[in-house]
Amino acid sequence: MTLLKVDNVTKRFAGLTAVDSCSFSVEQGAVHALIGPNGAGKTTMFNMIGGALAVSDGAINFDGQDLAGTLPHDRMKMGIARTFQLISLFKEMNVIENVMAGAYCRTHSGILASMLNLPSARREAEATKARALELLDFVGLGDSAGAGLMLAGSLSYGEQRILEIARALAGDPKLILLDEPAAGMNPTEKIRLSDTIRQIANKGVTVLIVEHDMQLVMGVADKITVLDHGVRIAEGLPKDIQNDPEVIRAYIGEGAEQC
Amino acid sequence: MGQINQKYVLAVLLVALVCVPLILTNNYLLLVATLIGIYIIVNCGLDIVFGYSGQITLGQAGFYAIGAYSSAILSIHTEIPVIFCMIFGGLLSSFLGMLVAIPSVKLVHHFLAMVTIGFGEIIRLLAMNGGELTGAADGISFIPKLNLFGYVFETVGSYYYFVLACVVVFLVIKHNLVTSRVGRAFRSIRDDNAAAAAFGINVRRMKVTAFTVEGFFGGFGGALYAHLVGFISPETFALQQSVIFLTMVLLGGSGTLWGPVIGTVLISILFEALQPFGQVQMVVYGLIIMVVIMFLPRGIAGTLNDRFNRQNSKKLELSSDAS
Repeated sequence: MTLLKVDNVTKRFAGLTAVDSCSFSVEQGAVHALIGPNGAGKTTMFNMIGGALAVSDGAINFDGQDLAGTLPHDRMKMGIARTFQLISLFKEMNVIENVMAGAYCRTHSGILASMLNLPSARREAEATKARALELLDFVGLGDSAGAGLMLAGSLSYGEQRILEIARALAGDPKLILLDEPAAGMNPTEKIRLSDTIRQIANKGVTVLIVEHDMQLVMGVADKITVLDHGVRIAEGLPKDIQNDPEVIRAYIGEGAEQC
Repeated sequence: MGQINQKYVLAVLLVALVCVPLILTNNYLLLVATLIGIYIIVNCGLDIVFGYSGQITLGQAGFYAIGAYSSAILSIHTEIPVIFCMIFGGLLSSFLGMLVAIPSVKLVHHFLAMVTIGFGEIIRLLAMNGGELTGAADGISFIPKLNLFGYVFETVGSYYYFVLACVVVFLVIKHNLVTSRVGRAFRSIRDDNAAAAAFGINVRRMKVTAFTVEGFFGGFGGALYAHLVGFISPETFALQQSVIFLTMVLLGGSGTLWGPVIGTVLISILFEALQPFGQVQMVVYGLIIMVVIMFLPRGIAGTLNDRFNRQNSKKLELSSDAS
């Protein structure tokens, strides 16, 4: 079943066409990678799917609904969560609170219930916290007791990227967008990350990932779409993409065949 | 361990505060202590917008004035019990806070500061030109005392206890709010607007909510003030008052539970100590703002918190090395 369908999407910034009539589909439960050289339009595509940018032309369809005119917070409610290429954690909040904040749109306590700490608000907060701890455990941040109380900004770079994933999962998304999750990670952390990504997909959450680390992408993706200069130049299984002459040309340049 | 200790400290503190009127027999000092309580309430509201939601606001004196004037006018011209007039003052101020916030939450930083300054000034000018209703420049006098279940809070000493109870209630409300789902949403828009929006938090609505809450705290504080001193006039509610409130929060540490309390107590005491020097007060304020921004950008409570967090993470590193 197709969960996300990007249909002839174009994005123009004053004179520059960042994404040009691009189409691809993401299957339910798959790990789908979006790759391409710098400036290929991957992050622009992500921002259009997440709702931070509007499309100039074309349509994005998610779970049977047209996303046109919906804002980022609407899309979160519909089931699209994301992580950010530039880490965007709530730095002055602790680790657990960051994950709990990710569950905002799945919780309901209002201002009065919150101020008076009514039993309903307390119960919901406890359930949210339990779920947050579970997720931290799931992504591997639950090891050291008390780490949950550290401020998010004081974690290491790799840990912050992992925390972004836990926060995104807290909203119980159907689709999670991972924007260069391995950037700045050491090899051990990358292995752990691949494992986490596979486990996310096993839980039935579809993953769309933008990543420069080819080893990670080839190991984890079910399907790969390659963009270059805003145009889709290839799509297929990892082993086909690896040998695709178009892709090699885009990454290494003309004349690569002679090497 | 920490929690039990904290409870002890709070209990001792509360007992000490209850004893204050028994020790401070000087009526003027007791008045100062009661005013400190009122300022704490106002500053807790200010902190929800400034410290927790990250929005600059300099209209605090406006909320303070709305609460003071509306409660005073209502209690003089109607038979409504004073306590309900006070609550009405808070609610009206809250409602106006929401109205002002709706168009202005698109603004950030100095633009928002200008709008909130404008708001405060408009309220002051309305009071100044309100004719008989607000008493214009002369203000309103003979504001009735609070009367609860037949007990009239005639003396400053008795009113002190009422204000103390209010401070406890408002601190509990603030604590509940900032640690709740809504409080996390406030802090998330402060820390990262775009990420907050991506997680389903309606950034504009959260800002409006924060201003609405601030309005209630500020308005109720103003009403407490009006029925304490029995006389109000526009000059009490000038921009200078908003600046003083903000300084208190900055010095104590914004975005913390105890910061505004510490800042309010320290600055109020300083203010009293400098009373004989007249205009020098404002020079001292200016200096405090500069020193705080340069050396204690997170205020007293924020700096202490940072130190505590650093120690904690060091302990964690040690324990994980050992294991």
